[in-house]
Amino acid sequence: MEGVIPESYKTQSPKSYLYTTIAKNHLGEVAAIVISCLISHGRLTSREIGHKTKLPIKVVKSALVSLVQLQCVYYWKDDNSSQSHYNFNENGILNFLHSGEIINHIKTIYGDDYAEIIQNVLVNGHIKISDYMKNIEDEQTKLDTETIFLRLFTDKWLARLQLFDFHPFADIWNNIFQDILKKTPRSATTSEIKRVTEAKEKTKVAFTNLLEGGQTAKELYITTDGYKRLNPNLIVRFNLSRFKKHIRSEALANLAKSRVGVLSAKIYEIALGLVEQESPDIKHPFLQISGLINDPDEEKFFINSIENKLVEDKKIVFTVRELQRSLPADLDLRNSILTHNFLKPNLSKKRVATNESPESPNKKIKLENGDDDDDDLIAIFNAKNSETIEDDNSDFHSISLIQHHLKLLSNGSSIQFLIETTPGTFTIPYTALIKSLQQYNFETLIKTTLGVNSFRVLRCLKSQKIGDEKSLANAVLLKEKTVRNEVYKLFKANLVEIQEVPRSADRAASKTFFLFRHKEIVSYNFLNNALIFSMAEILTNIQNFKEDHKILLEKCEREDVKGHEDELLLESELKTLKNLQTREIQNIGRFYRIKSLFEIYSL
Amino acid sequence: MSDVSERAHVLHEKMLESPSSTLFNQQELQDLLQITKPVELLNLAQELINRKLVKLVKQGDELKFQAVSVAEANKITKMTDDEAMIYSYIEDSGREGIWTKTIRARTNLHQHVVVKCLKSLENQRYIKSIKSVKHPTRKIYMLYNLQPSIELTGGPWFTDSELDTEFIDSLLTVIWRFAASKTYPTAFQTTEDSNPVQSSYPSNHTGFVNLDTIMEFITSNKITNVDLVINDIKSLCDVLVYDDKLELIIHTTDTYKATWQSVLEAGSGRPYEDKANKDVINEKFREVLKPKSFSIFEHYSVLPEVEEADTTYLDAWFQT
Repeated sequence: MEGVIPESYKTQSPKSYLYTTIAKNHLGEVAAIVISCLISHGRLTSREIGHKTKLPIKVVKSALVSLVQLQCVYYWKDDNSSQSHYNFNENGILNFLHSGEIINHIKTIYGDDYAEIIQNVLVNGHIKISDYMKNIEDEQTKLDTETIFLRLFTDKWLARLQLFDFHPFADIWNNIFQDILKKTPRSATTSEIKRVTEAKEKTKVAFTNLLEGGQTAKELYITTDGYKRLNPNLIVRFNLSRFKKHIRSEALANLAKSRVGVLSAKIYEIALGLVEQESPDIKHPFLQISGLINDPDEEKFFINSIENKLVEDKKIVFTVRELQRSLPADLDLRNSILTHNFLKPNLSKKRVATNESPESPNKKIKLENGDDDDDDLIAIFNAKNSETIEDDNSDFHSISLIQHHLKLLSNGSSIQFLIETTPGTFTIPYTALIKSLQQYNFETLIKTTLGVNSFRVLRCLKSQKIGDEKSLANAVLLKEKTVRNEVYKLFKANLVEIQEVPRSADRAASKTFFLFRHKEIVSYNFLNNALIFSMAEILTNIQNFKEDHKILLEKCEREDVKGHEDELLLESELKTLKNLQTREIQNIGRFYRIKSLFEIYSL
Repeated sequence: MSDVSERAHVLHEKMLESPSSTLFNQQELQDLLQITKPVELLNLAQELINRKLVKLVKQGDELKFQAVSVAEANKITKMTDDEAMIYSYIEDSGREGIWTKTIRARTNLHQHVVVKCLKSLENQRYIKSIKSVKHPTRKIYMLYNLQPSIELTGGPWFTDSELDTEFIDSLLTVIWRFAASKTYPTAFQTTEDSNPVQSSYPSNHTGFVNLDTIMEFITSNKITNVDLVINDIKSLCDVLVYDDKLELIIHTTDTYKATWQSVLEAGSGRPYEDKANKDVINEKFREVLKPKSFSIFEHYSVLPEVEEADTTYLDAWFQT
């Protein structure tokens, strides 16, 4: 083989480094070469790929077939040319990146059988249901498998594979648009701008129809003898955007855990689960088409309109009762909200309590609140009495307790995790939360890597918007020297920008002073790149140290050695093997930690 | 004073009867002794000025007289002329102090002379050298018995013109702990009646700390002997907000609550995680609460990395 992965895959961008490394690990050298080539050159024909990678055209073509199947590459053929063009498609690689977690998640919520099917779908890219069934002999297993497919499909973990999954969105859009534009007549009374806008609006409808098409019950399901099953001719793929929604829910629950409390977070997690399936997509297809929605305000409006529509359609709202039904039985919420019951023990408890000791801590806390708080307590007490809901402390999940937790989530901290649309009905403000989510993760990462002082300085700078060394030092109560060091650290990590303010005409350096400023989007992107690079580095590390012990690992793979390692390997070799294993596990652990952060910035 | 004439002496006494630093104009002095002729006053005034018992002060276009105490006058009369001149400038600067370079510029004296005079004045404990927070390199002098102004000392956060970070940190901890105990009733001590995993006040609770209660807490517990004003408390609270240890309650300007993350980071609020605490919660409940994914907010529970060959660093990308 002549082609090699060009060294530039590491340096051209962190994404290129990560994606090529993953492709190399999962799909082999040739796939990695093709992907790296497509990332660096953009759209190419198979001949051009062959020319640029110095691979024989036959090898390129066979690699492209599997890559297209695995959704690692898009293809596009213009109507008037016979030449196919290929583009890199992120989704396939992201499927591999998340595969471990996807399978694990399916396993925990549905079970092993479900996970097996998902694994097979991931390995093959997509599966025709009837083909999958062919391999199963037993009738009962067949029926069970059909049910599993149906369940996964209705829960949206599997989606129908359609032709447009293989084409870049922008091309499909452009195609439809040009078509419609041609059909929109030119007339003397309408201006060209108006005509284009009209065509654009029509294209939006046509495009949405295309994306949402092929989903009618008739096409998807077959009902025989009152038994509903998926159409066996359906080809299904894994729905990555469904998994991303799950990632988002998990990240939000983690944020709630750190801001509000463990139990509230648990309730939040379950609430998120209730609406997860219908929650807005991470990225709407319209936003992936360049030039369609340019204005940031328009984009914001568009995203909000999607979310509002889901709320109006009651897709992402839930009621307290729904939530109560879904709580795990062992979740003990009793006494987790300290209302008057805590501060003024109720009658039954008074009767039981014969000595003073169990009550004394309550009294102490009441005293600590001071006099003026008594009014508040009475107010709470009255408010509670006016509500008809009773506080029953024997129930693990009393409605009133859940309601209190939901209220805490909606206005108990600086982040609004929930919005109460009507009494007892809540919705989740996804768009607004993503902002807080990214901000808090980012800041915590700064705290854990650059230290608490950097964290303080950065947050101060954020609140000041712009500031010089002196104003920062005064506000954070740190020595100017410390502040200077911290700002330097932040600057080195590209988290603050410097603005030069010259005070004399010749811009003399001695008289100039400098202002600092922090820009969120820039920092997040930079950080995300650093994270992606680190992930790729870890994968490379694992490969490297495996490479160092290649002979030993090959020996273990030999047929005669397998299963007889204890007899055939030296003690030192066994020790090395064990070391290699722990080292790999540790590195994979690190990899997943970084990945969990990286995901947050892809939301 | 023996060589001062009787009338001059009386005039001086009468001038001293008014509060110090009162300025008299010519007419007022004449009224004090019921002198009608300016010439008569002129003689007396000249006599007092010669003995440094009266100072001339120019206010606007008018020339005014100010009495100087006998002790002060003795001090000045013992000085050389240069010393007296420098001393008068230092005296004028009051609590702000004066920079040696400014003295030199104003007096037009040679540096050697100025340094010599300053040294002699300092040795006699008439003046002292102080440090300014704003200009740490400048040598600034003021009268020995004066306290430097806040501008120079930098306020309560400075001890010997150095930012006293230890003092600040301990105050921050005290305030945070106070706020945390008001926000999370069982953060530092669990009670029988509360849930060991989370016990929060309901969302309509109002007993959180504000600037006044913090101030009262600090004064009543005699936490510091440094005088703090409400603004100082405010800047401490601001720092705690930057540290993400406190957060402002929405729609208020001075009411704070401690963040749950800060309580967690301080090592409180999670006794249930420890498997050894069997009686705190039962095993099934613990299983429900087990974290499902890695969260950076729980960084405190991550074991520190031992330096290893495969450790990757966050800055690996931009350092290469």
